[in-house]
Amino acid sequence: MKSDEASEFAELLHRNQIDFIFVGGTAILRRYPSQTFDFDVMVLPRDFARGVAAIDKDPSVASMSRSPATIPGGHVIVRGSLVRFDLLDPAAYAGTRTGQDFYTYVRRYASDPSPIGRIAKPAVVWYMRLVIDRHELYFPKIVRDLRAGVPWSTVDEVRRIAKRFGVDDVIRQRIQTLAEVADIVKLRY
Amino acid sequence: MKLDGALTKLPRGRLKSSHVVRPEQAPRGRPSRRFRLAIETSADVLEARRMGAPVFALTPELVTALGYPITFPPHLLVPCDFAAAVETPLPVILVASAEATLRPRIEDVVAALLHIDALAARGVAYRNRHSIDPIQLLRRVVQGEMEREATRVHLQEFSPTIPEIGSTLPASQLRRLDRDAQVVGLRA
Repeated sequence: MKSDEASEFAELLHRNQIDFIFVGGTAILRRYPSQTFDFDVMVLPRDFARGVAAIDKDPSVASMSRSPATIPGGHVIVRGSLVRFDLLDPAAYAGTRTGQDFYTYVRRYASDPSPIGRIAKPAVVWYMRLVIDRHELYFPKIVRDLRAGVPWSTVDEVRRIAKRFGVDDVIRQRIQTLAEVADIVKLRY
Repeated sequence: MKLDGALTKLPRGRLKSSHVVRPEQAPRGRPSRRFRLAIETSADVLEARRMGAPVFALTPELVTALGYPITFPPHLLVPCDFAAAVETPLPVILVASAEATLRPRIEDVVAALLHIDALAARGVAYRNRHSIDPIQLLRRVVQGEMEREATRVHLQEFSPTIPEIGSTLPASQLRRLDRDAQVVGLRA
């Protein structure tokens, strides 16, 4: 994915007055020579339902899934190509606190401004991958980030985020497994 | 005649403090000096590893974390020399080197997976191909006498000197397996 594609997707969100932060692979790609095939954005909680509805009506959105079993997402046409996007609800990552708390924290302390919108720091991306139930499915993405140059010391910041949101016990175990995986693929220094 | 393996006590009695260590019967009135590892679950493996025991659990969670989502019963990797000192209901994969269990690397995981699911072995190898040392993979495959399984999924692609024994799956099937290596997006 090229940065102008992310820029075009950001324009879609801006014109629908959606407050968002780029997370996932897009956020890593802005800092490291990585790759991603979709857009993941976290949307301001109080704006979530309105934002989802607004995007659903945007003419550049080719498909949109809003089944209760899945998170809102779909495909958008950017530069003539279909690209997958997901709208992430911060409540799913907020641990013992609220989605609004998590969103505000990332916006204020764990993201950087860019011409296309705020970009979450790698520690936030890793935390979000590690805190969810099927976290092991996302380890390969963290391994990919390590290969792209994201330092292993990022886990220290992940621990701090986990502590802030009351999930440090859960995250500690998962980082231990991640360390084992990183050792196996020889990427922990 | 059989090999009679056992653990001997470590300094400061650390072995005795763990539930995964069972003392062997000693002569009357004498303290036990020989122990065995009793591994019931993957958690016991972690406990044993914390004590420095050369055992390693190959679990579906680990293989999934390495990029190949799969379900199978956890297997225990044990060095041949150490096998007699381990009691476990888990399926055991014997390995030639203690290093493969103390500090497992991707080549150890791939070689062990050949015992369980050769397609998974290729899947993990493909997804982590940038980390594979061809010589080390050759060593592990040959030590485990798994050349036939390795050939079936054409691990020679990652370690060209693995001896070819038997037949290889059609290239189109292998390519399709590799193509399915996409990792899903971030979802709660």
